[in-house]
Amino acid sequence: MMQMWAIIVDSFREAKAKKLFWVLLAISTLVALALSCIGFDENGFSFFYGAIKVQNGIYQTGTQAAEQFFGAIVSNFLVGTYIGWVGIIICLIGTVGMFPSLIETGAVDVVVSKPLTRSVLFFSRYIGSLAFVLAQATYFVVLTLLVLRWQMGRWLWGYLWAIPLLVLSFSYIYCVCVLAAVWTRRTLVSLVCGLFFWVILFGVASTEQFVGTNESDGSGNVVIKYSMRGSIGKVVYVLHQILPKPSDIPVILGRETNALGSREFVEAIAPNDPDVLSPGRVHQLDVEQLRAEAVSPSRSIGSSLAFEAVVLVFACVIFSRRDF
Amino acid sequence: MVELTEMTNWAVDLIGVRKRYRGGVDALRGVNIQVGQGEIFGLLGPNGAGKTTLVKIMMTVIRPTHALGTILGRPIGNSRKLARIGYLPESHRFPSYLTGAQLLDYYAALARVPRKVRKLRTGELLERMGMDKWANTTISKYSKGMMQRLGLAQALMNDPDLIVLDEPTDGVDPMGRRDIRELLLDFKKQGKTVLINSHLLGELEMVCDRVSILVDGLVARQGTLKELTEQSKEYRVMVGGDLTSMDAEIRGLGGKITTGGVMLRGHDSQQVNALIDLLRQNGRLIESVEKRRFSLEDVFVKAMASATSASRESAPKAKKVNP
Repeated sequence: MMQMWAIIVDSFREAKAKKLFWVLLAISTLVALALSCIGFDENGFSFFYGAIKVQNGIYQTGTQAAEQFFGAIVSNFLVGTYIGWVGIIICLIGTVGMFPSLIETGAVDVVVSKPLTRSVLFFSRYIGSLAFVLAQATYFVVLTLLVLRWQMGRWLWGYLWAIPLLVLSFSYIYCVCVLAAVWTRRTLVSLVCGLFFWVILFGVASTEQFVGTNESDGSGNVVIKYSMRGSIGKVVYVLHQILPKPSDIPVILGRETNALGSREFVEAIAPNDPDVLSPGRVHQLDVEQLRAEAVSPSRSIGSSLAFEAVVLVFACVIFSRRDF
Repeated sequence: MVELTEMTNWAVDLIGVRKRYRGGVDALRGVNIQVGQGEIFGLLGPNGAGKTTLVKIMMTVIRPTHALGTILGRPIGNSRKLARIGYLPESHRFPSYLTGAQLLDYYAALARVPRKVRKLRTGELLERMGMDKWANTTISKYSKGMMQRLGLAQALMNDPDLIVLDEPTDGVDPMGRRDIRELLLDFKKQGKTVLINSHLLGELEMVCDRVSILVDGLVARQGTLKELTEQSKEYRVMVGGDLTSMDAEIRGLGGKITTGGVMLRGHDSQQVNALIDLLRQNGRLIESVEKRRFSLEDVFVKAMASATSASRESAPKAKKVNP
């Protein structure tokens, strides 16, 4: 336990020594500040704590649009964009060098000659890398939670789920970076492999949605049927079941934060606008919402973690059997 | 494959250590090395001889293709015994974001040294290495010599029974080298066993009890310094005048004419007396007789030469490759 703790602390120190650690904290602070400087009054909305005022008939203090505005920001920006992929990319850049630096010639010799098994060293280092992401995610989520409390007047406790879910989502991609790192010992190759894997996951998830069919149940409601269309459809379906599903994470988090659905979100930002809410657009939004509702958190996270475990065990075997 | 042999009194007892890298390159071809408890043992050899590979096998950094033997009485890689070994690798790279004190604490924690002991020993060792003022400075600001002293300190944090040092004086100035030599002799007084891998023969000669010369993945010579240098000794008889007319007779006694005299290899004093008699019978004036013992460098060069000629005749050479 003493050895594990030492490695985890050292990994965190390594991450903290990089400028990126502080840059990421600064970005998180800026996002929270940007969120805090938006406000509403009787005539419309304002920026920079009232310095710039914009007259608007919809977004005013007390209107439903204004109330739903921050909910929309949580579901669309904080969850969908920042936590969904911007944060993950930055964390990947910040941690991708951790395994290559561990197994660098001259550095690895001292560590592997200590009385600890290589598997303990490997998994402790992995946990140490995740500790970096955990620290960043905690800072960002807690800060934005406080801002949302100030702006919305209520605590959005479900939003705290963003901390473990961001770490989880990051780990889906990071495990592949680690495998590439122990195999090739190169940071850049490791990062490229991780990003390429992410693109594959995105491609499989998108294709899987494409091969699924959206049908009307006769009463005007949309029903999704994941019937297979030929062999490609079967392959994509199987791949989607096996591979990690980072795109499900914002959906799962959205539920925990009671974030607005696709249609509700559009209705919130453009209420009573017939051009935006055309029948075709409404149908599309309903399909998106239904797909989101079809995501099973336990199945999605369970299958993703199973894949991650297999990749990590494989990487650990390579690490343990390698000559340095 | 690592197997356990019978318990021995050797601190290090390696038998038939072989390492074949991918591609069929043999770095070690059956090395047998014994290091006695409490002695300072030197590992010598040219670049690519397999010295670092052997040290890395001992420290579990590299897996052997085959190895019998024990380290501190247990099979190679035994976790409990690794905790009793201190290791300074060649060309080490320590995490530059740590301070000297943090680095020592980190490596000692990996060696299962309790927190209280770590704190105590960190201060002691930094002071002993003359680095106590640098304890809280990040090591990215350290000079190469300071890094080497810090490396030595980390190898001692667990108060080891066996200390394995790969090129310990690399990058260290003459004063620092002297300090390290004194440190090694201190270890010996404390009953600790030291194995040093170094290119600096003169330095090894000053501290080592026994040495092993590794050439092409095999042990070419092994023994105490006295044993190795006694085997190779020469007499130089300085004589006035030209000796070419006596060449055949001198050769008959095993001598060789050199500039200003005759050189006689071996340690038979009767042979020297016979040579002196021969020279005096021929009216030559003996100016001086000098008995010269070979240095470790001479033994090393000789071992290298004989091993090279032997390998030319038989097996293909072992080459060092990066794993």
